[in-house]
Amino acid sequence: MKVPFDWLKEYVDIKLKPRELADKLSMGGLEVGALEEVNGKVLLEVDILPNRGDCHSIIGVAREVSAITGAKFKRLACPPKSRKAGRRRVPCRVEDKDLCPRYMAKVIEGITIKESPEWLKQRL
Amino acid sequence: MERVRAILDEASVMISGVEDQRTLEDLRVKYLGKKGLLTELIKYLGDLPAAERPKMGKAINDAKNQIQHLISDKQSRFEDLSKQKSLQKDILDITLPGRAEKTGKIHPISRVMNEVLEVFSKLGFSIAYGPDVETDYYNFEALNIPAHHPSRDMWSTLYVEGDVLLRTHTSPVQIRVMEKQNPPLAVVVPGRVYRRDADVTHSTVFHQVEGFLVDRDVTFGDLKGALTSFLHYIFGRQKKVRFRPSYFPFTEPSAEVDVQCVMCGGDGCRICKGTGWIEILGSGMIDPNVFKYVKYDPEKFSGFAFGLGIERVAMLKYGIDDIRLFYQNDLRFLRQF
Repeated sequence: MKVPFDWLKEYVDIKLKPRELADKLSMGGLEVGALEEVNGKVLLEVDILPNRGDCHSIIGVAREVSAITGAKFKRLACPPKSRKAGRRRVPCRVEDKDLCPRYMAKVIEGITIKESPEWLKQRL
Repeated sequence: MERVRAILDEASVMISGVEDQRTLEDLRVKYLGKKGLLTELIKYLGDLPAAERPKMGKAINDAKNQIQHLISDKQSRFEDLSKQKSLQKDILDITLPGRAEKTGKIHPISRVMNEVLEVFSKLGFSIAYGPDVETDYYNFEALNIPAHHPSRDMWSTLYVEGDVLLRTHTSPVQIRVMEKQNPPLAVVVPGRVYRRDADVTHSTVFHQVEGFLVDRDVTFGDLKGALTSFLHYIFGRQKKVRFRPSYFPFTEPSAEVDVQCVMCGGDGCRICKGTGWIEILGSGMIDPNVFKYVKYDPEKFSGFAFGLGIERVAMLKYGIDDIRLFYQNDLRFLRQF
């Protein structure tokens, strides 16, 4: 997974230089396979193994960085406009409790579908 | 009489002037042949008075012999000359070195594989081999990689039919060995393996050496010792080695072993992708579940396992940047080894 250094910094206070961080992450179990600079931005290529599904996201890696370095993990606030239960309901039913012990679904309303903004495209 | 003398003189002059064998032969015929000048004279012997015949006959004979002599001398001279000429042509400088025989060379993959096997042999490992075409059981299940488990994602397997596949690593042979033999065991398994992967540094078909050691009281320290020794043998004792935590379904704990980048020595470059380290080995302490499959008592025995890719090491050792070069059978490449 490609992790831009800047994006990572939004979720955790990193005081280390990218090289140092890469070394610390690798020695901690999250192998940084490559350290590149693309368009002036530092990119870490993190090899995520099957036993660390929790790291399959920028937030996941940030949590790991926080655990390894002791830096503060910053949860970004993103509260919904209203928590009131809406009128829309989506019917769900678990057919096999062994294969699927738990299933969760949430309805989010008030979304406009349009082309992603440039900054989002960059990030993705 | 003068006639004889005249012919003899003429003949000597003609013969000495001869340049080639053809002319020589013509002269022989001219003087000594069936219708030769001297032979003709013999016919006139009958015209001579009886008393003079023997003298004349002898003179003719002598002349004949002399001419014959001159001709044979000239003939041998010709032969000598032609012999000399051919000797000149075939003249050999015997101080030249011999012509070398074209010998074959060892393929770089074989070379590196042999080197790796030799190091482990020195460390006390024996060598085992196994089939390229395997079953799901030996390649995955018995290695604690259950069907439908997400860890199967770590290998892009080529399936043949049903349960039959092309092995993705040489680890299955370890199971086969452990099924047939009891510990203590130290075995390395070289071989060809197959994965659905192809780019500049990956080939669908490549080579590995994997190994394991099982005994009583084997520790992670033993693992580190063995693998560090190995890396120092192959890359030199000046190169630093590091172990970092990793994950394999068949080892717990697992580690990957890096060596300091052979190109930049740790500063960061294209080869090590900026990290300063190059991964060479995967390893770990054998998971007790694996022991259960081969019916070893995990309470009594422990062990470690490891594996490496041969192409990787060869590319680092020889500075080769495209894995495909190993398989193209281009003499321009192969000759360099």
